[in-house]
Amino acid sequence: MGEPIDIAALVGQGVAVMVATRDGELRPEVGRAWGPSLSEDGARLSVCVEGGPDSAMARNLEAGSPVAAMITRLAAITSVQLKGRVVEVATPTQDRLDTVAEHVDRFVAETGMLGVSEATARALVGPELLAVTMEVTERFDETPGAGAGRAL
Amino acid sequence: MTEVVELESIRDCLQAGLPSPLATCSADGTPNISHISLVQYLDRERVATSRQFFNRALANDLDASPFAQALVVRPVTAEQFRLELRYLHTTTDGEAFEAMRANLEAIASQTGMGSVFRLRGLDVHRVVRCTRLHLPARASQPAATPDALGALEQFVRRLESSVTYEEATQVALEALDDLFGFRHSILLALDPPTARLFAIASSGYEHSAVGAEVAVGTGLIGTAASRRRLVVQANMARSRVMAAAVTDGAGGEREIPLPGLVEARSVAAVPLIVGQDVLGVLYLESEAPSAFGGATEGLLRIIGTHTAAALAARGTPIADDPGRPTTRAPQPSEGQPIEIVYYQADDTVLCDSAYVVKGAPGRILWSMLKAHADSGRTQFSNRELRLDESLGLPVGNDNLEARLLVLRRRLSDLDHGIALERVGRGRLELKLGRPATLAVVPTSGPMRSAHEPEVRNS
Repeated sequence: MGEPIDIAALVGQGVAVMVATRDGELRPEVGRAWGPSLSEDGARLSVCVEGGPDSAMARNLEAGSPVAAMITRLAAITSVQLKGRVVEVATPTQDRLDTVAEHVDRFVAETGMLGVSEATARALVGPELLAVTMEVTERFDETPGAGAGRAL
Repeated sequence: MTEVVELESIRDCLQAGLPSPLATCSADGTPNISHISLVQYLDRERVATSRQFFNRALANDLDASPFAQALVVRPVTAEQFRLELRYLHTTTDGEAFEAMRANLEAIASQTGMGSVFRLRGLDVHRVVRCTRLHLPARASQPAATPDALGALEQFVRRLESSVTYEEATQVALEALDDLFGFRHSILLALDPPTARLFAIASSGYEHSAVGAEVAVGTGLIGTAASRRRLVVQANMARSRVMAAAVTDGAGGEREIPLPGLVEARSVAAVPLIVGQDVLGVLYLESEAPSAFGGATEGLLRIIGTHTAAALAARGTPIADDPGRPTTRAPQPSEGQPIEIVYYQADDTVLCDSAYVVKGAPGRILWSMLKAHADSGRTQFSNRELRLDESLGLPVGNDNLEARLLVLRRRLSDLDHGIALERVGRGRLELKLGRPATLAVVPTSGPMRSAHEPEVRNS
């Protein structure tokens, strides 16, 4: 059993965030997400996930797909996966876009420690984003190792 | 905005060294994301993903629902590609499995995370669709493919034109730079009795790698030898971590560090195999990410095959030049004496307190120095070295050419007034620029019997 993971602290770092949904035939859709923000009680996670209004990601979210969000600190190989249901999908507000920009700066710094250039890291950010808020019902430690998959 | 692309066109993004997210779905409809260490190209329609021991949810998901999706990144341009997959089956053997296991073992050895990277199986998927996501503003189209076949032909010709083992090592590394742009390279030869690889030539580093050693099975280089497979790490964040790992933590004055590029982003370890025998490893580093991935892997295998054949052909015993009189020369009488110390425990030779060499090359050098001190001899033949049982060279695959090459280059690099020069086919001349004093540090350890005088019945 490893050290307990402080999810709120992890979310505030230059983490890589992946979000997955699925369609009615259980075909998954995965995309990068930016600007993660966890509510004070840890019950809700807000992110801006990549995808346009006509994307499979948008369709799945509109259809009420369950959501998984993997949050990984690359330099420390620490990873958690949050699962739950969507409570809101919207066009990102300026506040959310500001949160995205701040997160991208932290991501650039984090990946820079791994030898990734700033230009390369920034190029990973897609042009279209969907603001998504999910209610978190399950939390898992996904850090590679014996404890991977352990419920938190 | 997405664009459908051929899987073939993104081979360089697979095994790019970046963990890829793989999304699956459990039987109850909950999506799940796993980090996959490697996505491996199998053919135009199929890829394989690594199933490591900790991916329990992934295994359950694929059994429940065959649909999966992976994101891969082209390291140079940050282009991203989405692979829509349909799971076919899991395999635990075969060429693809062994290739991925070699790569994962290399990562494990390099990071000290052996249990994490243990491969349970290879999940084989059909690629239903491959799409390029948004095109970053700075992304460029892939550079025009150079004439790999033409360059390969030139490489083979240049190797063929080399006459000696030593020349072949030099020509190979120079040609890799000239023809393929592989500027940083090290050639290592395998010493089967000690299960270690020792560097016999290097190119593109500030300091020579000659004499540096790597244990078989350790790090990328050692894993390439033990698994007999090409190992490619397409995104090395910290080459120094690897360099530290492959030297087995060895340090101190009697070890030669393996050089490594501070800014190495990708590396490849190519096993040099002839028939059933691993002769050594060709190690390459690049500051560019993904320099050795994709189609380049096939090129590296061919380069490895030709290099191995060239070294094998020039490393086999050949007739020595006959008829040359044994040359004797008096000790030089002028100059500060070179203090040469021989340690029986591991056959280390020090010159003026500087480490020169150890193991078989150390025994060879000491034997020559002693003969020179006793009788003034300066010339020695490969044949007599092979027949000298006190040197302990294995019968058959004695690697004598490689050992002599290490010895000659180490002496040249150190420039302590001792040189070993070729003076004909299979003949060497020991040259001392100053008088030498010889001292032995005997051992009482396990190697003692090897150094005791043979008891003869009279």
